[in-house]
Amino acid sequence: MLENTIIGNVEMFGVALAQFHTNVPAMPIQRHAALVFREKDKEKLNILHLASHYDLRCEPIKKKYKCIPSAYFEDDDLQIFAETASRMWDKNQEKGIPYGFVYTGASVFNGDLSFKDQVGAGLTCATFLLAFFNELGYDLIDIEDWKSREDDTQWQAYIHSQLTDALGEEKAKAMESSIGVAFRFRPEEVTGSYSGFEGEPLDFNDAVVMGENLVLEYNQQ
Amino acid sequence: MMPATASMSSLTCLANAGNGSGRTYLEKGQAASSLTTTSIVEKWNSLGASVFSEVSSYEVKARQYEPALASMRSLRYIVSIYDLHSSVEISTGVNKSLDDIYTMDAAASIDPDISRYAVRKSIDVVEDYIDAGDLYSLNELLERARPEMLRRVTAVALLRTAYRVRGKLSKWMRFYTELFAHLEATHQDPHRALKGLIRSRV
Repeated sequence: MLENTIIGNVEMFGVALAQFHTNVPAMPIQRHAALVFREKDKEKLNILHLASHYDLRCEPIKKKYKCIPSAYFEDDDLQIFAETASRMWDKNQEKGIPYGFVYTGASVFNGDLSFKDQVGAGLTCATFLLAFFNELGYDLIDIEDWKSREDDTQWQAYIHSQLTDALGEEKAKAMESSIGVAFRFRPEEVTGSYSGFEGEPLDFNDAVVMGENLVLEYNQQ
Repeated sequence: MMPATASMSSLTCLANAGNGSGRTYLEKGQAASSLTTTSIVEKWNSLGASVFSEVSSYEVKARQYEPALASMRSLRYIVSIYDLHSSVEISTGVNKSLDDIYTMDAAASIDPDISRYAVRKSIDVVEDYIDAGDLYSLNELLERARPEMLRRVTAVALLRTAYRVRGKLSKWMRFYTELFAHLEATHQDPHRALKGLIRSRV
């Protein structure tokens, strides 16, 4: 039995991973990443996550989400993260954030924390987390060092097919052109990297290992 | 220097206010009273009303302190009056924002249970300035903020929240440097607290 070293309790702020079974043979399992935080004076934790195209949600955490704390970040950091997440929700809850595969590490939020919405711009659930930390000065992973995997294209094509109607013609085309080109930052690798972060961005190999260990832990619970 | 635009309407308004009597405007802008102001208004008065009618049809853009036409150079004084008046308003607003942050933070240092309210106040002040496009005031706030008057978390929240627009804030680095020095002098591990804030960006 693997000792739990990644999944744990979150009091004020952390990230969370959920796993879903689909009825699509080619994509039997989907994973989803979220920020998890507690509002001031509230008892329950909320998750802030990009559920789909223009569908940013802040809602009470559900059972299938496993929380991931950080041993590195201190109480001061967590207070800033939690209040920034709260403010980010305030600024984006009406309009939402578009979905997209391309993430370069450049700032994706306007000054007011609203998303820079332009054709081709968008985030995945995982890059939403990367962008959140990036805006505050932290890079969880070294995106310059990132690599493509063979099944990235298959996943991107699947997501694109699911979102085509919602995207509209122009954005669907823009997203299609990034299939097989854009790197894929997997939810378990990003959330696992939050756990493994010790002040410097995790390189590709370390992030992959953190993601694999996290999935193992998740499935044992 | 003014933060936003000196619109035609504001300049026209100034001209009308001064039409025939510079004293009228001086009273309206009492908060801006100073020897400098008086001196400027005297020069303005000396231009006469006919010049003001030209002002209202002349396109003066923000931060354009010297009109292209040599004959209109005296216009810069009119813009300066507006600037001075605006800067006093900005100064008052920034001081109030800073006082609010200091007050909340002082309360949080007594009662840690309200620490997050103090952090949120700090974040909200910065975000509201950014939201309003008022980076001038935000820059002023960073210049006036004293790290030694803030708890570490509140000072770091100010700095990190302004991080994504730091390229447009000449005083961001000044505040970073002062905060770093303060944390170092008080043994609060600045390297840890300010991690990631100094780096190149993709």
